Amino acid sequence: MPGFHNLLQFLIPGLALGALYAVSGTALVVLYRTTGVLNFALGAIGAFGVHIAWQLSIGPGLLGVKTGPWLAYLIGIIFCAAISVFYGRFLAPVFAQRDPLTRALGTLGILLICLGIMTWRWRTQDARSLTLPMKSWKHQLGDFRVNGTQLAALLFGISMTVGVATYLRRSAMGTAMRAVANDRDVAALLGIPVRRVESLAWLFNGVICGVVGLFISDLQNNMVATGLTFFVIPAIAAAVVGRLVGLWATFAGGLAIGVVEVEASGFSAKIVSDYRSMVPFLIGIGALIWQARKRTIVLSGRAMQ
Amino acid sequence: MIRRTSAVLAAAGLLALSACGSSSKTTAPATTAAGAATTAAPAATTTAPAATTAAPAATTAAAAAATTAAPAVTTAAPAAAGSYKTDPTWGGVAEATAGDKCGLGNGKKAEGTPVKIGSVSFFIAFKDGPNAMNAYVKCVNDNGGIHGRPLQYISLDGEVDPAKTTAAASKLIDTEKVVAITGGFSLLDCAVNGKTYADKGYNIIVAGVPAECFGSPNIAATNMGPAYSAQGAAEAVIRAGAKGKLVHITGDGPGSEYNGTYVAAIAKANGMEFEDMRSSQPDGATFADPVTVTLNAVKKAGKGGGVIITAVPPATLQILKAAEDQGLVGDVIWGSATPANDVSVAKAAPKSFDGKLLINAELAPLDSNGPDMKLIRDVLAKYDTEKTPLGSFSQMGFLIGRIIVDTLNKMPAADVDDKVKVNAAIKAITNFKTDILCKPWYYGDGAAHVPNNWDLTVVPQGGAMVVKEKCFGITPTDPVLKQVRADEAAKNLNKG
Repeated sequence: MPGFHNLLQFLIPGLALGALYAVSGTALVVLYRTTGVLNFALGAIGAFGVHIAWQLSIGPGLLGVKTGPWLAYLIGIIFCAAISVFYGRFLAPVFAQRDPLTRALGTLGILLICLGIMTWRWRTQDARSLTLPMKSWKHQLGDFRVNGTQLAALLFGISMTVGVATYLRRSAMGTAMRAVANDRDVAALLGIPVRRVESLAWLFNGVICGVVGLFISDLQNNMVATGLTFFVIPAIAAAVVGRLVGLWATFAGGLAIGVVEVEASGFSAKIVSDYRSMVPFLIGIGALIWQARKRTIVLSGRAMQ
Repeated sequence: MIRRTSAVLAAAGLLALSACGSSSKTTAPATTAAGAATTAAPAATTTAPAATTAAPAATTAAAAAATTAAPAVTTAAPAAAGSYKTDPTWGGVAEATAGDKCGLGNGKKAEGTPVKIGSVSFFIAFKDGPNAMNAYVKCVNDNGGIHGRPLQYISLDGEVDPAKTTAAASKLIDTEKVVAITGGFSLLDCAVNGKTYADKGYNIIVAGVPAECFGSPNIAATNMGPAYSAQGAAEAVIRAGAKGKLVHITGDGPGSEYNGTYVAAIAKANGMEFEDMRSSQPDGATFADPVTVTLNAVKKAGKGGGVIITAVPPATLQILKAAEDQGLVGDVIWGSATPANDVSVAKAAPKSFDGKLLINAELAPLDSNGPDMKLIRDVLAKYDTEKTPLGSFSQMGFLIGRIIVDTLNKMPAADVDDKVKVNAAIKAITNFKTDILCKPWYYGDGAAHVPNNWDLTVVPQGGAMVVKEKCFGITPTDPVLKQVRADEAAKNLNKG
């Protein structure tokens, strides 16, 4: 059982990881509210962007081109945005009139394609790493060293959630997104450019994929495609906490998952540390049970509480 | 409302499905892997007796004393133990029983009914091994095959699935009717199919991971496996001056409790404490939380203690980077089993680990130039269509190919379809010289087989692996290795 001192020292890495879960969950919620699509490919697209950035800045280059790290990161993020927008613009509309499960399964296709290409192109047996420049800043906090990537991730998570919530509430595009989320057909009748609004949501999702991918890869020292792809699981759990609607609940859920996960790994009791990966499921399922405490009976499409 | 509720439920369902997929992937490997080493000549070589009969504590203590005087000193010299040429740069065998060509080496294409051999592997993790063996078999078939007939190597994927692993073995035995089962790289094959192979009269040759691959009368491996390799790393760490406690980090896949078995034994023999840390690897290749794993390991080992890693290259790199990030590199002495002996680790490891990660290497440095090493480079370049890199797995696979082809071609042509005679010939292999190993390889009639039980230590240095300690014998701490060493001495199995 770790003492309070140990719990405290794992708080910042837990918050940093949780902030990335939270911002990813936020991106999932915004996309879902706007397009009705739950993007299971979030982690895979982000992983692809990280590999592109690594290939350009550390690896042998892409098509004979090598770049500096910042340009490589930018290209990686643009690549993620491009995949996301491409899917949203050309493939997602095919499933637009189908049920939510079918729309979500469409993104599983993108996940599998990305994963297939990555495991084919970058051998999973090889050791690779991508270290962001801000990681060189370090500060000793008890037995633990806080680094710049952890603080940057935390700040990014908070600022993005605040920014998105404000944008959706205050800007015209935000109002349009909320209108599309409420009723796509009515919004279109009112003259709202639905396709453009949806593309913007996909673009936002892709950018978040790229940035979070870079952060998570550096935080976890992990550049294995499968590992990064599964990052979507806690993000979905965070979104489930927010019931795919509430940005702040999603944010809180993400932070909670991150902190509990990291704190659990600090326990010497194997029963706790070994099952830390269950945390997203436990929190997600706990949230579902909590939300279901008001029973909803559905009769012929009309909900009665 | 309904739309949202169903979406949330769909998310929860898929989340649960993902959980199933994730947990099944924890069964992926945490052990043997690729290797690359540049032979920077070590400082000096001392001629110490082969560690076959010495008590473990005494052996390691003596080695530690030698290390104090000159850190890069080798603990044993194989030249004293056998009648074969040794490579002065790393201390291994410098000649090859099978010569310097593929098979018969006559340039004639093999024709006729193929001679069938096969194996079960886990392709996602270990495909390099079967790939290299397959490339060698192609080269053999372009050079006279087996007494003029082509050799057919049937390599099946059993994944990490007992049912598929069993089915693959049944297919080889009952449908394909192979005469030999050689070239398997699997997490499960030895454990799941070992008894079947024994009952059917097969003496199999593998590159193995679980304990069963090293403790059975009818299974012999070209590698030494994670437990002995981790022990070799632990011995290097103790020689380098580790005191107090050894902590072993590994994944939590099936059978992973075996990986630290002999690290515990060598720690006990040297009056040190030991702790095994098996940590979650949700994707099978990386630790879920490397920073806390590293912090905990270093804390448990204490200042001046030792931390041994047995994990695939990406997971090993996670630990190294976390140690650097947390400023822990100098707190303990670091060691690693064979998987870290890999070009990608050498290139990606933090500079602070230059010369400080003592990696146990089971096979020859990749830039060594004996006949087998030259041939494997040529074979992979010409015959491998999957661009398999030269590494430990490809060395192991190629070596299995060399052994079985040499064995079949030395049998009378009329006997190569006779399963009983082929497997008797496999069992009779002794003193198979290859410049891929420290000592000649053998099969023999022992109750257990660990024919590869000498290895070397390499360290990352300037983006490459360099030899730190030339070939040394793993100290026998368990009854299996003690018996193996006794058999080697009594039956002239690997003296050349």
